[in-house]
Amino acid sequence: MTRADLLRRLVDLGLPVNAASERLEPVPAQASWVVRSLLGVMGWLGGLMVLGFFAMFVSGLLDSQPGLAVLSVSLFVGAHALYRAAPHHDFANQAALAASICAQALAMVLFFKLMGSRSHTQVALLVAALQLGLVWWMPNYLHRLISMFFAVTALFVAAERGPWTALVLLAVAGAFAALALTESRWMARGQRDRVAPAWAGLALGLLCAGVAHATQFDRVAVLPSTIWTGMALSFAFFMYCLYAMDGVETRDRQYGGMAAMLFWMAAFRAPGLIACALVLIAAFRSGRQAFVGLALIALLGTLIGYYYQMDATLLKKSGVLALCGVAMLLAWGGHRRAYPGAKEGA
Amino acid sequence: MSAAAPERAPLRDVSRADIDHWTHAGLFDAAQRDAALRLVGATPDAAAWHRFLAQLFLFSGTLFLTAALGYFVAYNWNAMGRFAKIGLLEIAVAVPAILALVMQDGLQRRAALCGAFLATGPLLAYIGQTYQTGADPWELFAAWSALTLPWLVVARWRPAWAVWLVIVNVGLQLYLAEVWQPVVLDWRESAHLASVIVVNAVALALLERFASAIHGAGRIAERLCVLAIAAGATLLFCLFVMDSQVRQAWHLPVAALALGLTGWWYRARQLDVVALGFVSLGVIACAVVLTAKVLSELHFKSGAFLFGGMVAIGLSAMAGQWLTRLSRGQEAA
Repeated sequence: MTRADLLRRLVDLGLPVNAASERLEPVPAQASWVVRSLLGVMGWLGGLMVLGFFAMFVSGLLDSQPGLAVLSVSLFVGAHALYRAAPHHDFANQAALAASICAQALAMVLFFKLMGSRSHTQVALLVAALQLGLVWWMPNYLHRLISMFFAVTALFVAAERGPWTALVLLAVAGAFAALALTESRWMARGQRDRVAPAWAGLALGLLCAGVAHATQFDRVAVLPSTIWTGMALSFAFFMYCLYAMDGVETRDRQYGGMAAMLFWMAAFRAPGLIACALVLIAAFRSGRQAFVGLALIALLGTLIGYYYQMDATLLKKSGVLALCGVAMLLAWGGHRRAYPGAKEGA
Repeated sequence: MSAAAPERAPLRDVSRADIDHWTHAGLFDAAQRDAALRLVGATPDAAAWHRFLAQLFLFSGTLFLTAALGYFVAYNWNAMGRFAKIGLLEIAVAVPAILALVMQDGLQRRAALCGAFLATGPLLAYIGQTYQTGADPWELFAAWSALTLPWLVVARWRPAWAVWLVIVNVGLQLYLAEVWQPVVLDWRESAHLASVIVVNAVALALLERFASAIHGAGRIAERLCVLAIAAGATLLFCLFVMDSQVRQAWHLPVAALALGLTGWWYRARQLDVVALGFVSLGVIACAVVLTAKVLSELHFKSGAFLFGGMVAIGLSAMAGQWLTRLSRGQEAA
C-alpha cells in the first residue's frame, strides 16, 4: 500500500492525518532480527574479550575499587558519546556496545567488592537498577534491548527463588502486558526509541522465565512453579487478553475471553506455558513475526523441560497437559462453531 | 493533509518502520498508528486472527494431548496394566492416522498426521522399556524417524519436517556415541561434527529441491539445517585450530567447504538473509578463534583478547551492514 492509498483509507475510516503529505517521508528499513542477533552476540563477545584484555593488561585492576569505578564510568560515557556521535555507523555502534558490556561487567565486580561477595541479592538489585538506567540513557535499540533483558534477569536473580519470585514475575509480565497494550500511545508521545526495545527485552525475559520454570539446575528448578507464580502469570495473561479485545465486537470478546480463561485455568500449574502464551499472543497482535516464532520455540522447550521438573509427579503433569490439550481443542471446536465462515488456513 | 495531495515520495509500499517514524514525529496519533498498521498488513486483521487462532488451538491441543500421553505412560502407573497402556498408545497412533486417511488435505489432516507422528515416539519408547528388546536409545529415534517418514511426506508441512530433522539428528548423534565411540556424547569428536554437516546438507538439498511442495512456517526447516551446518563447521574449524591432539587434515577443508558453499548458495543462487546471517556468525567466530590462537601462540595473550574482541566487533559490524543492504535490496526488488 502506497502512502497516498494509506492516507485515503485513513480518511475513509474517519482518521484523517493533519500533516502535510510531503512531511511523511519514508525511512530506510530497519535491520532484521537475524542482523540484530548477530550484532548482539558479537558485541557481547567483543565486550567480554576487551574486559579480558583489561584484566590481563592492567594488573591489579580488578582489586582496585576506584580503578574499577573510573574505568567503568569512562567506558559508559565513551559508549554513550559514540552512540550520539555516530548513530548510524555500524562499527561505532558495535564498539560502543562492546565498551558498555565491558563497563557493565566491571560495574558488577565493583558492586560485589562494595557489598561483599555473599550479597547476591543486593548486587542483583543494583545491577537491575543500573540496567534500567541504561535502557533510559543509551541511545541505541540493541543496547536498550539487551539492558532490559539483563534487568529482568537480575530481578529474578535478586528474588533467589523465594517468595519474591512471584512478585517479580507479576511485575515483569504486568509491565510487558501494559507496554504491549499502550505501545501506540507511547510512540505518539515520542518514545519509540525506548518502547520498541523495552518491549523486545521484556518479551525475551518473559520467555526465558517461562523456560526457566521447566529447567533444572542441580536437580532444582531454576524458577519455582508455585501457586503464586501461576497466579501472577495467569492474572497478567488474562488481563492482557481482556484489554487487548477492548473495542472489538461483543461476540468476539466473549469468545476470546472464554478461550483465554479456559487456557489459563488448565495451564495454571504450568506457569511456563502461560508466560510463552502471553508473549505469543502479544507478538502476533503487534505483528512481530520473529517473536511469534521465538515464543513457539520457547513453548516447545518448556514442554520438553516440564517433563523433568521435580515439583510435581509425572501423573500430575500429564493431567495438566491433558487439560490444556482438551481446553485448546474445545476452543478450536467453539471457534469453528462460532465462526463457520472463517478460513482456517493450511 | 489532503488525501489527494501529490505523491512525491518514492511509490514503494508503506512499511511498519515508516508508520512508527511518523508516529514518533507526531504526525500520527495512537489511533491512526493502530489503523495504519492494520491497513498495511503489519498487524493482523480479523481474518488473520481467525486463521492464527484456529491453527494455534488445533495444533497446540494436539501437541499437549500427545505430550500428556507420553508423560502418563512414563509415570508407569501400576493401576493400569501393560496391555491397557500399549493399547492406549496404539489408539493414540492409529486413530489420528485413520482420521487422516479419510480427511481432505488441509489443516485438520495435518494436525492428525502430526498427532500420529508425535505419538509414535512414546509408543516405541514404551515397547522398548517394557519388553526389554535390547534396543539402544538410538534405535528408538531411528525407528521413529523411519516409520513416520510416509506420514510426513503426505502432510507436506514444514514444522513437522523441522521436528523430524531434530529427531534424525538426535538419533544419529546417539548412534555415533553408542556404536562408534561407546562413550558419552562428545562434541570434540570430529565424526560427530562431520555427520551433523553431511546429514543436514543432504536434508537441506532435498528440502530446497522440493520446497514448493511443502507448506507452512516460512523456511523454518531449511534454516534449521543451515544453522546446524554452520554450527558443525564452526566447531570443526575451532577443533582444528585449538586442539592439536585431535587435529586432522580434512577438518579445515570440510569446514571451509561447508561454510563457503552454504554462503555462496544463499547469496548467489537463492538469496536468504537469515541463512547468510547464520553463516556470517560462523565465519566471524572462526576468525575470532584464529586471531586469538595465533596471538596467544606468539605469547601475546593480552593482545589475543584485545584483537580477538576487535575482530568480533569489526567483522560483525561489516556483516550487519552487508546483510541489511542485502535485505533492503531484496525488499526493493
